[in-house]
Amino acid sequence: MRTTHTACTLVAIAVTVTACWSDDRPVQWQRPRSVLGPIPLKAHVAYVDSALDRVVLVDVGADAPVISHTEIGRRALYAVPSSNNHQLFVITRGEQAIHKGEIDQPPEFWVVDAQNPKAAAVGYPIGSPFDRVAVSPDGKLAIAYFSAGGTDPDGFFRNPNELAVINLESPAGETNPALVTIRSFGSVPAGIALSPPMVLPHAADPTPRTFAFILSANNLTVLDATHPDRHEISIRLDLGGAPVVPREVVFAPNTASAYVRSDHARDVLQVLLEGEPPDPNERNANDFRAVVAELGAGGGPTDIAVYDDANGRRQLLASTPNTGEVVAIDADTAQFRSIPVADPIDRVLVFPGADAAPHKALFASVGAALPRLYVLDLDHLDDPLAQIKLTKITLDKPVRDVVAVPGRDFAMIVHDDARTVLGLLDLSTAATSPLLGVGKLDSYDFSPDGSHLIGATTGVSRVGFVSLDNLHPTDFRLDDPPAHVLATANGKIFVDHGGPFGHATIIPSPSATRSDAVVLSGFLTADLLDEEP
Amino acid sequence: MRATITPVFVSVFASLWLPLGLTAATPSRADADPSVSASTSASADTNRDELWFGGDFRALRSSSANALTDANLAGVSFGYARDLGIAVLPRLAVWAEAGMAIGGTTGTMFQTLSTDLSTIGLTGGLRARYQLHRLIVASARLAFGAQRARVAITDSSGSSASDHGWGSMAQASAALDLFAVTRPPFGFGVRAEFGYVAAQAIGLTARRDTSGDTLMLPANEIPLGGLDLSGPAFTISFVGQF
Repeated sequence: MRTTHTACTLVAIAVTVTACWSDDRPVQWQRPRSVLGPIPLKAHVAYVDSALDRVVLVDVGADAPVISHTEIGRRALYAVPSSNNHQLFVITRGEQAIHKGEIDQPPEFWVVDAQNPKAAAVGYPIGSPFDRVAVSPDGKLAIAYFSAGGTDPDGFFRNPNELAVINLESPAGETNPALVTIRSFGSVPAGIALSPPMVLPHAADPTPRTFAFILSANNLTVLDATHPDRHEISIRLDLGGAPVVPREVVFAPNTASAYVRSDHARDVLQVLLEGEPPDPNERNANDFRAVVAELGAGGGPTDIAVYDDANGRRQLLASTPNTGEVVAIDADTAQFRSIPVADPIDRVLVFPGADAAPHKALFASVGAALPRLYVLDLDHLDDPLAQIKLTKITLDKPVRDVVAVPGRDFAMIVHDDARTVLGLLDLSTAATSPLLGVGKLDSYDFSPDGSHLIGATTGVSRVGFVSLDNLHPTDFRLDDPPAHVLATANGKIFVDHGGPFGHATIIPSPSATRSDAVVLSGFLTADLLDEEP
Repeated sequence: MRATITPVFVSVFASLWLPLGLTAATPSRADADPSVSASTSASADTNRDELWFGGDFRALRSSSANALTDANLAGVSFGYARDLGIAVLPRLAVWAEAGMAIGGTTGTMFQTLSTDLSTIGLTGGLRARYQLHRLIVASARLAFGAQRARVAITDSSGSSASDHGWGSMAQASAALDLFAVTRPPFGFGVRAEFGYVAAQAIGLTARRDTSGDTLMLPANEIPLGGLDLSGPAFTISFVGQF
């Protein structure tokens, strides 16, 4: 009888324990999820998953796409590719361990090497939850900073003028990244441009270095990003009227100078950096100074374009509607030529826009939506005896936008806000050809060699192609509506259909048939069930 | 990795035929020699067939199940058992049984994706029953079989992806039966059973749900991974014996 009671008790306890079984689900599955991307890289397309804390890389280089993922920190905020499209840079917000399952993780800057997707991402703790990053053209330095709106309400104090200067060639350490706070005159950074490596004239240190140009209202700050511990230089831009907001910086590394276009400014600003012995009495003194000059635009530039001519000289084109002219400036000598034009030009493009020296420039009045364009021949611009004049092209419809076709003497002209009526301008013949779409051109790209325009409309299950050699339109039927279309550097067309699972159609080339295409599904949830929290 | 056909087939075969085969090898009550029956069965004056029906619950706490839901698997189970007439010890009887469990649950991932998980399990096995009291029986059960799992994931726009697969499973459990009536020709009672289900991970791929006769390009679908439905299980059921 005693055995019976014992057995009954044991069974009853076991049943009760089983019935009360409960434990917690990892918080990973209950966090909100946002996906950044698609981001085109060299032979990959990248997506950043903020819930699974990973970067998904779709390798479109081979016939069959290959999926890989790389772990990063928690709560990805922002991602940009490197200038050579071989790397992806991601800022993660990190996490505070408030609820069970959460961990204490600082904000970090991550470098994902798309060329070697099996390698672990390299992380740099950046101290503050920055939400923007600027990367130097040579990919050796990055600066994380706050956007004008900041990131989120977490934290206590926020220093909007703080920067994290990251040396990407060194591992993270006590001095890498370097946290610096720039001087402020009441404004906060709106953007940062990093220069190519420049050698300063008259400087004791002959090694090339990178300078950060920090743009904020009424203020331009120049920081030696190679030596972030040294003091920065502040340049006041305000004229006493409307705030002068720097918008665009182009560099002339051969002369260690930069050209700055600002809203409400009188002229294009040339900032020439040159060496200067540091003050021996000042700790962390810098060894350079900024010589500022107003170039002869003279009327408040609305747009600028910079190119290197056939002789390797850096040239700058600026439009100044206030003076009714466009200005061509030799960036190395600051000599300039003015060409009169009555229209309020606010868009300047050079052709071809790739690495080759351009020989045509196109000017448009997008803001005024005028049905006119102007073409400037750049080949004889430096000939003082040549008569420089603009060639006027009159169109039937107003110009709402102009986009350069990479590597070609073509410009795509958008005639309406809905992007349904397009035109293609051949700059070599000054001839325009209309293109009619079935709907709004929600997403478009050009093939890397500039041979095709590729377009897609949300809700229409097709991708349209226009051969830019003969303007022959074709289309490709898709199984699902597109959300985004892009051309990768290896010439493949990647059509993202959106959705939480990852769904894309990869078309090998604009001339491919449906049988050549690959539909890829589920790449954003790949191995989801095998993820360990 | 999706479960191969061989273990699934063997499991299903075993779950269906093991009890029936053992039952066929057992002498029927009408043919049994009373002296043999008295020595091999717990009691000659008992019911030797059983049907049960009840609720089935399984705690899903593998990492793969956690990905889909924070809820437990709930459903119904029913089955048939027969006394094999094997008496190893006094008051100890061995029964062969076959059962089926149907379960399901729902969940949410990333606050935006709805998940739906449904399972069908087929098992066959043996139960050793020990008579603690005239109306109380403790038992231990070991069963093998196969289960089918189906997963559907739906996003906020209504588009969904789903897949299903088979995998083998095994279950070990202990139970306590409380009978109101045990005498022939009919007895009935309640069974509370706890145990653990060990399940093979079922490889799944989220396949988009499409309809219509439009010609589609063959999709290169990336697997979701393996779904492991192992976990502690609890069953409460009504038992009828005859």
